[in-house]
Amino acid sequence: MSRARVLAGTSAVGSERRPYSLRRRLMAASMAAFAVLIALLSAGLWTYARSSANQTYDLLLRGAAIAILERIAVTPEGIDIDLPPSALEILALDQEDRVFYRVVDARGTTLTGTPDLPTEGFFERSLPLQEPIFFDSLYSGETVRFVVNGRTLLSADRPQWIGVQIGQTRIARNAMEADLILKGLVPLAALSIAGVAMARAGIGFAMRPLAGIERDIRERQPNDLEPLGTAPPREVESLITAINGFMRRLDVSRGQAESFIADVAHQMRTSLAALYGHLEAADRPGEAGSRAVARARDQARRTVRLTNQLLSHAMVIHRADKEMFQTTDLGELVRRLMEEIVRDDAAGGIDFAVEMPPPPIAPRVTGDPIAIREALRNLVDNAVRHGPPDNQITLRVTATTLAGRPAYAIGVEDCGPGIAPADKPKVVERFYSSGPGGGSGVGLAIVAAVAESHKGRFDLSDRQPNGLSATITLPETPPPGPVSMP
Amino acid sequence: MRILLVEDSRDLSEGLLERFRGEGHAIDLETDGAEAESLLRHASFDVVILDINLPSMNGYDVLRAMRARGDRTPVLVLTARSEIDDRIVGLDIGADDYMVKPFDFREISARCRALVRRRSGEASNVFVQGTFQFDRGARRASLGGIDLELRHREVQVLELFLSHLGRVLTKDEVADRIYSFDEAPSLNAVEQTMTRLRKKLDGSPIAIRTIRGLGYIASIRDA
Repeated sequence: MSRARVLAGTSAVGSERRPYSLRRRLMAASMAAFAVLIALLSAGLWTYARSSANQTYDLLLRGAAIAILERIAVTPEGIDIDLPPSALEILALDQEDRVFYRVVDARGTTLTGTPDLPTEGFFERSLPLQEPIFFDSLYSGETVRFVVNGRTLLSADRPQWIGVQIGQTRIARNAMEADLILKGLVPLAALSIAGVAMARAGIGFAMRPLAGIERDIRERQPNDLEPLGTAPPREVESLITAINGFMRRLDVSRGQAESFIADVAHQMRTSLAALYGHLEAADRPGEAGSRAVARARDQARRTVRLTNQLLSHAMVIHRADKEMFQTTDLGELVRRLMEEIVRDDAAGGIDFAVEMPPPPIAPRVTGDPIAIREALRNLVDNAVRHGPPDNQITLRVTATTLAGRPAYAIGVEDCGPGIAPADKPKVVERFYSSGPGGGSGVGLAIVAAVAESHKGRFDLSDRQPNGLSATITLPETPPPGPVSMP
Repeated sequence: MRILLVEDSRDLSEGLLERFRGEGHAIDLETDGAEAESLLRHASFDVVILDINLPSMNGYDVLRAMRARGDRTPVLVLTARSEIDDRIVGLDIGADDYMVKPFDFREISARCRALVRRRSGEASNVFVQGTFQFDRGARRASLGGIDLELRHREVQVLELFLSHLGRVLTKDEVADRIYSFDEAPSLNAVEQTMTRLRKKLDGSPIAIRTIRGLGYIASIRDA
């Protein structure tokens, strides 16, 4: 029992995983609509058939009742009933139907005919004179349609009501009713089948552009990122626009990746070629040889730094794609960063300072702590590298706003030579390096990439009398929407 | 020194073996994490140089296993810069020091020596670094054999910093250490204590840097 249930459960899970079919949904919806329509029309048809069958046969019943009533006369001996045979013959047109009748007086006493016909209580109501009463009742094992009508006869002493009750079984009526319903339903069913078939064809026709788009994408080469050529129907236009936009972004990003790889290859080759050159000169005798070794070591150090920076850049971009955002305590981050920097700052002549916003502000952002720390590390490294040995470097975190959203600005200020105004836009580009202490040229590109992936901004400004202030501003929570990486 | 090098890169390990052997140290090489782990259960070393990315068992697990069974052998972790977030984890699970690849061979040798000296001092409850000595039992620090004549509070602060080398200590954290509950802590007094201590440590390998607005970091200058 339980095993069967488990099996049923797994099959239910299995069928849930299948993607739903638009065609099946549309078909199910149109068939349901047709079913409701047919049900409503059938109900109407049935009511109409029943009432027209009743009307037709009620006319006959009524005619028979009038015919009998007309032949009732008051004689001095009493009431004289002369039943006309034609009156009941009309009613027996159908071979199967049976007819019952009786003549009653106002007290319900049967004067002639079948005495036990059901009365359905009409004696308690006002007795019919002009308009007859019709009702259905069960009699002798069948549903019988009855009519009751009467007239007032003027006898010697007082007016006297005399009524006639005629019953007829419903066989002929039901046959007529069924015939009417059948004649109505046949064209209705045909119409529904035609409607469903047309809906099916219409859905197929409407879906055909989607199949064309699917074929277009399926048959493409992996590197073919041209926009889709088919003119889309209005309903899927935005979908096609989105697909085309996505492919365009993919194309741009692929182009950037290609140029990045080309740049990296060039930089690495150049650096390694220089190292190789120094090493070739190293086996020269004497002073020249040891100078070449020193240069080779220096070059190796630069190559290491370049490699590290390139990997760091790749890591920052990669992490931006994966959106590894979490609540990041900037105070804790700055503290760890300072420990790292002091540890690596061998000489130790630099005066470091940290300024955090005053309590109770606890600076926190939703971001990638690794990427943010990497950006700050690069800013501080730059300040150390380009500044004097007795540099004063201040890390300042202030609460601010960015495009109307609460944000934190993290500034690194130094007393170095600064960056010439003309160079400021260029330094954030990859492999652009300036000044005598010029590094790999990747550091500020990393910072800019981190600012971008957090939807923040990165600014460089001069300080008075000298020095540079490099500030990365990060929103407390990044606004929703896609990140466009440079 | 008896050194265990756990490193699976042949190029790097050959250079290190040559360097340490050239300096007259006994150095063994393991290239597999699990094998290094089982070796460490039976043999003892003065210092372990441990790579993180190892076959069959990573360096963190080796280190964690060592510390879990109470093995306090100094461990210097080798890591790549791309594992920068792992670095802090390394220190938190009990690495004594770390170096980022690629590194200067002279520096790794100096750091190994410093680790071993520091650990040997711990056994006798004495912190030793170059000519600097701090006897925790006697609560006395000396430089080149000359007593630094530290006051009570200065000893407490020095003890705090030596147990938090390389870590930021805020002024409040320092104040918590030198004041008992019923004394009103004064940050001014902390600063005065720090100034005096730093003056007395002048010329020693212990450097305490002030990060204005954040606190202090003590570090060891390589001798």
